[in-house]
Amino acid sequence: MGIEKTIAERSAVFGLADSAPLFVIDGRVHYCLRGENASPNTLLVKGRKIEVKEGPLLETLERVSDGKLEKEYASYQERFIAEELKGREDSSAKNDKLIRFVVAEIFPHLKKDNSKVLDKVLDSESEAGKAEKDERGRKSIKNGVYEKEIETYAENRIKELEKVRLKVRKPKSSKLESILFNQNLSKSSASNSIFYNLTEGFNFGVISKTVYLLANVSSDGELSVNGRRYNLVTLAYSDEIAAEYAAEKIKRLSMEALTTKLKESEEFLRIKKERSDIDEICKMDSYHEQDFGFIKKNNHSAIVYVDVPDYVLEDHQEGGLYQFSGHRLGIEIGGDSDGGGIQLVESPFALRYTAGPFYGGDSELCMGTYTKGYFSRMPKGKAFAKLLADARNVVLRGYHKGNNPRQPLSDFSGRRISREEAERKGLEITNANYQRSRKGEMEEEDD
Amino acid sequence: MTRRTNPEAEPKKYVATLRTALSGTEDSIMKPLSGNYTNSTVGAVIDYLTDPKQLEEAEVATARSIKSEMSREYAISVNGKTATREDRVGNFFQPREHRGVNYQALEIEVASVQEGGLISLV
Repeated sequence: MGIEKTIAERSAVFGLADSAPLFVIDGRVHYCLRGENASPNTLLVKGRKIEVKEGPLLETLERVSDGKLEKEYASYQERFIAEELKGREDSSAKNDKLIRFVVAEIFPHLKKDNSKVLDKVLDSESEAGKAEKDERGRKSIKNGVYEKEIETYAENRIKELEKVRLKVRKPKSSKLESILFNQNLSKSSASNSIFYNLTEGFNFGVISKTVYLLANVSSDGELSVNGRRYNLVTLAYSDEIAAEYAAEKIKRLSMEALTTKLKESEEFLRIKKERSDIDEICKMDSYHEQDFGFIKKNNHSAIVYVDVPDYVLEDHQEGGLYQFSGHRLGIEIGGDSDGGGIQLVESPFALRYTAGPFYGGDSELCMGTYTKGYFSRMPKGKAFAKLLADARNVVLRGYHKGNNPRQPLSDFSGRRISREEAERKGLEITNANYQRSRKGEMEEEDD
Repeated sequence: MTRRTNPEAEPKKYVATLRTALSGTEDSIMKPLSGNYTNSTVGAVIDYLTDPKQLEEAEVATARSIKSEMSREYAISVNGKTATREDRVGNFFQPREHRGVNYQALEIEVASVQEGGLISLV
């Protein structure tokens, strides 16, 4: 049996109403006893007066229902949390495939992290080193990020759930009736009861599977309780109201689960344990470390970039030096809707307008006769990393005798710098000291 | 927390890394250098690091990539500064620290000279 049906069928209010007519007036339950009675509190049925007895508060009766369904509620909240977290993970995993590829397949070839090899070379995996590593682990990016992310998610989900308004029913009584019979619907004092919310605070009764609102009348009336008289105005069948009661109860259980139980749930703790730094980075729209990073454009494409430092180029013909600014040099890659088939969307370009002998007005980098034949020989992630590294190499070292830059260095007279100034600023002349190949020797060694 | 070593008490450690413009662990060769190499040249260190007798199995492919870069006109960068094969490495070592151990680092990057320019004019 589904939780909604269980809640509807096992509601103490409807359970009591099944055995006797029941009324809720000012938040308190009243119910009928069989047989005629001279009591002042009566219900008129087919000309006979039936005694109406005062019962518990409506909220108490609702709490009785809740008490009986504690296990079912706990089980529902557990399932709800698991489904919420799973749905969230599935959805992000689908959207993150491209970035996951960037982080797991491209970045390792750009990352300058030789810690493990250094440990081996220096034999430095000492106790102090381990302690330092542990400390770094504790400060890892994943710490707190997932919790914060879940807190935000829960807050947003609660807001969504709060927007789901109860289907408040308006009684079928017309304005004409209120004029003719001088009757007005009577209201109860405010309470946190679900029924109070369902009926918008009106006093109500349940008789023979039908829910009625109680309208005040000055004389006669079908119901008389504590000197006040009421007529019954049909609202809805009780199973409809019971279903709405169950839906509201589930909403409240869901919100309670998000507020108080989510971060203690086994599912949350399991996912938190499994999440790695890569998962955290995948959630970001942009990320930078060392001298590389990515900027997510949408779920299907991203720019992966490397930093180019400030540099100086030498004009080998006239000996002049020219200073250029550091910038970010990127490629755009994209995949299909499920993140598969990742391809190069845009060849190397400067992320913002950058002057340089190989940049066009659109900041696209001209790489001459460069070919990408290696794309078929090496893993795609490594190939993208190589393209970026080679592109940076073109910017820094590609200017030499005999090539055809988009603009010769002599066009950049405003960027001239003296050798002394370059040295003083610590700027590298990056297209100097070319080494001739020792091809013959190499081939000999290879043989 | 780091473990500090007294430079006077322990012999200096020298570590050389050779790589192409790609810098992942599997794209570089890293080895300790004996103190004798401090008077050596950049070219000699490159030769030592790519010596087939010195290579571990995982380094063979990297050495091949490095040699491939050097099969055309190429540039050498040592700890971020351009260098020639003939330059003395002693001028380039940088003091670094790893997990409390001090060492002298020599990071060599070789890259074939990429020819930028306008394809249509080539």
